[in-house]
Amino acid sequence: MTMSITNQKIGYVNLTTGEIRKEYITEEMREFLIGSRGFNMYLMHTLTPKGIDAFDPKNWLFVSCGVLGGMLVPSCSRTQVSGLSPLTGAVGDSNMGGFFGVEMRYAGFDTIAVTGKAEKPVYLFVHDDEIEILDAEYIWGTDTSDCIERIKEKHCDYDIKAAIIGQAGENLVRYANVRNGLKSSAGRTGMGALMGSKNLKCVAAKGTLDLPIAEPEEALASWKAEVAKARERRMVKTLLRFGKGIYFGNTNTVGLIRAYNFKQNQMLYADDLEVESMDRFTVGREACFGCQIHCRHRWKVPEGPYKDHYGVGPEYTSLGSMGTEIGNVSMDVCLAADDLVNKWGIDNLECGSMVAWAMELYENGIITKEDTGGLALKWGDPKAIYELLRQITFREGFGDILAEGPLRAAEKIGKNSAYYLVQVKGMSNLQSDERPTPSLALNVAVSTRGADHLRGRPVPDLFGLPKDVLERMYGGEQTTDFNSYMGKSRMVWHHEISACTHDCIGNCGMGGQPNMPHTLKVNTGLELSDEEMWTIGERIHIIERLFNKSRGFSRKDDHLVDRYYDVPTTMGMPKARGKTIDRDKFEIMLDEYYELHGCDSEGHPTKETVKRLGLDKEPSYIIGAPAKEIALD
Amino acid sequence: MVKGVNPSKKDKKEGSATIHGVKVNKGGEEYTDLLGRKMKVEKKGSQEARHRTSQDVDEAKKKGVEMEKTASGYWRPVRSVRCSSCQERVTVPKGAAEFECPFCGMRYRISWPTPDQPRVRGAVWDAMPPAGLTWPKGWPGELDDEGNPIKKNPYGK
Repeated sequence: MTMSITNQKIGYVNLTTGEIRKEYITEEMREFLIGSRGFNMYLMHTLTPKGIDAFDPKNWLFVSCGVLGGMLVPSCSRTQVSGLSPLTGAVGDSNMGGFFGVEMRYAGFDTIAVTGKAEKPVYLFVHDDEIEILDAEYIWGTDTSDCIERIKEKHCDYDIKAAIIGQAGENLVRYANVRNGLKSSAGRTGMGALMGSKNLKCVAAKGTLDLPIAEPEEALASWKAEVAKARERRMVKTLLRFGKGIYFGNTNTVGLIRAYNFKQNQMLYADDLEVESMDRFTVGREACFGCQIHCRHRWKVPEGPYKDHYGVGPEYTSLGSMGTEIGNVSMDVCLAADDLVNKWGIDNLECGSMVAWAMELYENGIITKEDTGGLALKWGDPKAIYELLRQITFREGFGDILAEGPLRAAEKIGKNSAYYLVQVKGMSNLQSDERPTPSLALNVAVSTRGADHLRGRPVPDLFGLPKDVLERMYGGEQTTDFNSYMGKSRMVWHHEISACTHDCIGNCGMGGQPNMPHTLKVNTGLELSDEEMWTIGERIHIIERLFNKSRGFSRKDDHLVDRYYDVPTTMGMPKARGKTIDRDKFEIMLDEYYELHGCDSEGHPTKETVKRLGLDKEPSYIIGAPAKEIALD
Repeated sequence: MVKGVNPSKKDKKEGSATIHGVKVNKGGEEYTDLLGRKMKVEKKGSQEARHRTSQDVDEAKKKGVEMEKTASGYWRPVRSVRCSSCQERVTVPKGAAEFECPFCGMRYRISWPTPDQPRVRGAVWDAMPPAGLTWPKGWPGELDDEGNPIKKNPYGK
């Protein structure tokens, strides 16, 4: 039997010295961490020197594709980008769809690990078992769309895929992202800034190597079954028609979104931001590699002041960050802003939150035109929005302060400005308001990379599922009431571990969740039981907690900002109105959550947990030995 | 043993879906919904749970309710959406652009991803109380002096 899991490699690159090492991935590594987020987190924890700044050349950047990327599995092509975060100083990690990761796998590499700093701008070209460090002078300063076109032209190959930073990454905006294609972004935690700090413009890939399927006939049958099952799902049919913005209308209706920064939990009459409005912009549909869903609109603004802005999307989060959060209810304005931040390479969640925060500060007189260089930061004003986005990207004027991220910017502005931030661990929340939903509130607070919705989104209690169904899902007592605190820590714990394993295989979850042990076996030959996969998920989460512990994070950082506890919601449906998070109950949830994960009351993994998960061994025993040869002293 | 949040008495009774203060899970009991209609709880569990056995599905079909099986193996009425307020699953008339939940009176704008699949696009904004105001008792679906449901937003517009 061909073990396609062991013919792939990890490539280690030191940009300071130009050294490159390769390491074959062993079956032992797969059984311990599977791949992608598992490899990234383990390598980050074992290789990143303690006490360094994220922009220190000794910091590492990891780019990995899921173990099922490029194989006979739908919805499994995601690429994980990780490293010590310039934004938070904690776990830096984000993933993106698209085609890049699969191309990297076809070139023979599952993971590229980069340390050091190049003297001048460079990019990596990964192709058929080789990694080259090439001069990037001709693409430095370009936006993410322009950059890939120039690379294709230079190499006379229009099939090249690349993970690219825009001008924001070059200018070290602490929430710059890494992008491939017109939409797919590893947006959160500032991985683009980390790349920029290494003078690394992009990682380009072109592969023609085999990626053997372990049991081709069974894999094909499994793929057909998964696709057929997905096609029957109403969610998939809805995604196919309207795209991922479908969540916006529902959450806004209930009263679970942020509007005007954090002043409202619902935006009335925001019909134009609902995905049904996309019909007038849509020119086609787009999907990631090997996906039948096509959950993305390919759009172009046909007329008006924003004519000819184009892109792919929009995401649910874009509709909030460039919509309700900043007081905008026009889809045209939202799409044009989305186009700009994508081309410039900034995380639109963080960017929208920073602009919204600045607007609330301006409204409350904490900052004035004197601070903003004459810019009136009025809610929903397109001129103010676009100018601020530009200033952030190019670090000009007031934008230079906002480019530092929430906590550093608040420190510079002072005057109680930090009170108006909506962040956890120094990263802003997406546009959701979790005051009516303790499960989501806990999820956002404890996420290892800062306020976040993709490390485990516990939403099934919003769907009114029967109690017995929920209890079967989570293996413990549950309630159908999304206002309740009972059983919610178990939900968060469950979804966090599931997310770890899904990220390892590169699954986005939009097409449903494949039967992972079977899919893994027939595609890769890797045989893991459900229990073993669960343990790997636990291991990855605990590695992230150990990493954060080594950076000084603890229970105090697993909390929400005061407005969640003190200011009741004012809008929405009866169950969403007048809600705050109860501090005492939140603390009890936190205790319960830590215990489920095998952590002490400070949120740090106990010795028993570390030993149970095999994390007490010498790190190089498993993975990363060649990295030590080339790491900077 | 995991230390848990002590469930309140209310929580312990969960599974007992509560619709605006009316318990509907014990089966057999009658209640008046917020539109003033006499309702009877047929069987323990939510509407979804009621239709889970083949016998239940057959009964529903006899009553003329079209049923479909979900990808997860559950049965539900076709053209149904779940009310975002009371969380009951309700059938939407084919092609309807707006819809009012028969259980709680919440009003929705509906879109149709496929001809047989409705989706809650959003709320009917005129039927939402403005920010800062609490929902009056019995609202939405509040009755006028003659016992008819108030269809207009009590706050104007």
